[in-house]
Amino acid sequence: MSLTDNVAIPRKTMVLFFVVDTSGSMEGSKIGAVNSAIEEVIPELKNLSDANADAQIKIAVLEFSSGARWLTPNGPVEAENYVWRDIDASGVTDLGDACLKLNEKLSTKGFMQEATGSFAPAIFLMSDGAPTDDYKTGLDKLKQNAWFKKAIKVSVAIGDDADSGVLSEFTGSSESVVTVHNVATLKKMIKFVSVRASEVSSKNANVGSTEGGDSKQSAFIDELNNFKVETAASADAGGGDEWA
Amino acid sequence: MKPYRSFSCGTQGAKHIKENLVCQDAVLHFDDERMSVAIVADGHGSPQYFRSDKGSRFATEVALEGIKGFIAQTNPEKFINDGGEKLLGWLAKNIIAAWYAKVDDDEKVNPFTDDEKLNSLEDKEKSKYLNDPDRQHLYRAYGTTLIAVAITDDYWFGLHIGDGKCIVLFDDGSWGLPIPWDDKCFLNSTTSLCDDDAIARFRSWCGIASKDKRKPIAMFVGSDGVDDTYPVHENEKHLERLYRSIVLSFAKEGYESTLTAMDTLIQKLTAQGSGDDVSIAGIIGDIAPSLVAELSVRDEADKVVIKAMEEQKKAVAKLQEANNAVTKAVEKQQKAMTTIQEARMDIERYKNDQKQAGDVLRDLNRSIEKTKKEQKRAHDRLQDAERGVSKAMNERQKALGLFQDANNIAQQAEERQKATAAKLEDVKKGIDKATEEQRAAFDSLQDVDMAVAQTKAGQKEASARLQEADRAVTKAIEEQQKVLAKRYDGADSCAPWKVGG
Repeated sequence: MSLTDNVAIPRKTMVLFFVVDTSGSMEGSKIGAVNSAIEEVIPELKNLSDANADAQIKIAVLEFSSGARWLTPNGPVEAENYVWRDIDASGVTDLGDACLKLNEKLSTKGFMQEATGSFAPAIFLMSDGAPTDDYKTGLDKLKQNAWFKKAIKVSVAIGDDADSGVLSEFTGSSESVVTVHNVATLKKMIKFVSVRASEVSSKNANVGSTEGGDSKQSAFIDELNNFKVETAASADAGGGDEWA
Repeated sequence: MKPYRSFSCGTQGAKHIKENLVCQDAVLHFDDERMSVAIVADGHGSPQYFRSDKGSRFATEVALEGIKGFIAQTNPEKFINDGGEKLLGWLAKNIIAAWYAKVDDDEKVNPFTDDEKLNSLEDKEKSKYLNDPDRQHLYRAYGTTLIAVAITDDYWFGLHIGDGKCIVLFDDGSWGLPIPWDDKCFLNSTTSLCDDDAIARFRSWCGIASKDKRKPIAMFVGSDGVDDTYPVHENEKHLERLYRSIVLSFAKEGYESTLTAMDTLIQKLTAQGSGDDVSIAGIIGDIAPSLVAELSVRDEADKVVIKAMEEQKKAVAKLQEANNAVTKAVEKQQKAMTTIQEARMDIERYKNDQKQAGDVLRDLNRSIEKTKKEQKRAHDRLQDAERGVSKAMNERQKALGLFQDANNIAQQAEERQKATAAKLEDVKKGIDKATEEQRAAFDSLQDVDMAVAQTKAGQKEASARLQEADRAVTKAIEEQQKVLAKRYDGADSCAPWKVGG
């Protein structure tokens, strides 16, 4: 066997984290839209993963309400093997606990075992309220996490009761927070963010950069801003009942 | 310096070829009687480092010159006695200074132009490069990492700034990442020769042949295009497997064949791995047959483990798939059960509804019967009332007749009253007439009295007349009596009239 044949090269992995607020206020059309949108976007992520020579996309899901829980406790699951199960909403909004749980798994001993140097994770936070616990402690700790620093981070604020300030703290800028007011826009945004964040994050276009993670975040924010403009024109038309 | 031989190879990244970017890696290797040296530098990829291909080349060149000069001028005794670290600090400073000088020289000869990647920068950023009095951005344009290893008969060392990795195989069969890691290098972030604190960011490692228990038998330095082909987790173990294959190739296939094979290998690493420029340089020593055998055994064992892990992954994926299928089936079953349960509940609900509807129907029938009876009673009462009204109408008619009769009687009575009043008037008139006749009688009486008086006075004379007078008196009395008798009869006829009698 030749030297080249003797060397095996593993396929790269990019992890897409869904961090979903499942507090009581999400009950009804909000959690319904989240459930159906993620369920619908998984086949698209699978296709993206199949077509993407750069990296395979894996999914990790963290829900938070009264405490936070991993729906993928054994680690990220390949998009093609992930089956979304509808989640229910009840309880309070313990974002701080979610940050701590996320920090714990954002490590090579946790969910980043298969991550390679070129592929930062994408973290997608969805919430409709303000934290009810000491989120500062959890978020400050998470912000020290090197994987978190390099991740593409984006938040969707569901309705006007969502604390956009806290979501901006999470993502690092208000530009990476999108506020939605109805089911149709929420679903559109979930699909766009999931797919595009995965695409941007799983492309190693900026190899060799001294600040690759930041440039991917910037590239994604540019795309997000364009999408916001496109969506603003059509989002409210036929968007269904408005959330306060 | 017979036991060691250096080598190097590098290739433009697969992504760089697609995006028409030059190779920003540079490699060098050098051997002479005193030393073997291997160097890799990786120029940064972002647009603002638009001369990093030159920067990396300059870094390898100044590093090689610096190391050659360092080894030539450094007394081995001094290196051994001073522990080497302090001297390597000076070497790093010299390399940085030489790199800065080389960059300065290059920029003087080739000032920045708009034709370069400056055009891709925003105006604000671009002006920093064109108006750069302290030349900060000048060096930034040439930014690069650097890893160098060297070995002599007496000592060996490594110098490193930025990412990429140095992996060493020692003669006892152990592997290591001897140069300390810098946590500022994470994912695509790295420290650089162009950093202000480049001297502080340099890391080094050294060993002394006469003191160390183990001696390097192979040293590899690779750009991050090699590292990023593998997961971050336990990255060194993956690199160990890669470099072990190369070591075995050197041992079994020879130097030239291995270098040729490595050119193909690095193409595979960039195409199937990182996509980045891939560069590997190293120093390979004479490897004892026993170590070759040991490495071969480990290699085979690793292959078995890797194959087993791949099989395990496939099995896990299949298991996951099966679990998903089972889960879906269970969910379908649960949905079916739920549907059946709901249908049963619907049936029960319909039965209850039917029963309730029957009860309601019965109540309605009762209510209709009751209403019919009440309707009949009301009808009877209506008939009674109609009869009552008819009777009342008759009574009213009779009453009207009576009222008419009473009115007639009253009218007759009124007429009789009027007739009686007329009669009374007549009686009053009779009385008045009788009264007048009485008065006339009294007048006559007075006349008589006067005649009597006259008679008496002439009685004597008229004794004869007395007689006549007596007769006249007697006649007068009889007349009087007749008048009186008539008067009393008139009084009786004036008795009151009784109305309605």
